[in-house]
Amino acid sequence: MSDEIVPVASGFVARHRGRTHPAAIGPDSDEVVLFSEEELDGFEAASGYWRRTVDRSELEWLVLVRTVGAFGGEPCVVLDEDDDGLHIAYTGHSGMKAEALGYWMVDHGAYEVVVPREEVFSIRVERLPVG
Amino acid sequence: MQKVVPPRLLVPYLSGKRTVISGYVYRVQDCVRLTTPRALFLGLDLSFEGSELSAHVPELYLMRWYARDVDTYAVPYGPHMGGDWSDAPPFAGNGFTTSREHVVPQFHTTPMPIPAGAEIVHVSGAGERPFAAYDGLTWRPSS
Repeated sequence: MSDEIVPVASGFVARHRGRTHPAAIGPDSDEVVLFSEEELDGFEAASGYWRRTVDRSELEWLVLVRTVGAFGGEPCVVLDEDDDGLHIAYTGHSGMKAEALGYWMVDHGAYEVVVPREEVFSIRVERLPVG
Repeated sequence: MQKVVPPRLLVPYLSGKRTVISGYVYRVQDCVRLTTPRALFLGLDLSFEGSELSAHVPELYLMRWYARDVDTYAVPYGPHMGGDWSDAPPFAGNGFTTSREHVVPQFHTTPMPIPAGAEIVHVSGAGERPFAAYDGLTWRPSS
């Protein structure tokens, strides 16, 4: 148990012109869409937020942030946190093992479950640099 | 790349509650002959236990996106192919789905954020039509 760590859902974060933004990669590998809750120069208004597509080379850095842990001795990634606990996804290679641990197949090949937070061990937030 | 969206996940995707793609995925070019819901169901092994779909389903939703260099797609080889993947049937473990009618290479991804530019298309017996497009944060109806 690691109460001091706040799990975060998987997502990209980008540094652009001195600001840090939630981001998405695509449609091309070279393109990144930056999001902002306030109006910024060069950003276009969407419903409730602003967005701007830039070339990846314009970024100071780009990281994939995700929260990983272990459930039942097997690796998992945290998708969400709500009142019921942690929504986790199995990241191993055995569907049978996942089912034995109580996961169920929410999508073909994707095993997920919501479990009490104290049952997920070794929680850590990874920041994986994207080259 | 593409993946059939399970009916139970369509609303969570469109509402923005579900923000990842996970599980078995396929290259669009490997699925060009899977043009009907029945062909997709049979060709992509969607008869797994717990699947809400059947060979008679009249319509399906497909998510499509471009693979990017940051993505990691694994080929789920079973022990007989030198790998360590296993799954509930139908699962071939040889790098393809179990279909004998269609040769469809199979890939797997752990949960990855939906790429900007992803689309959901509606597939029925009458063909396919654009349904929604993703800007990296929000799905909007295709016009």
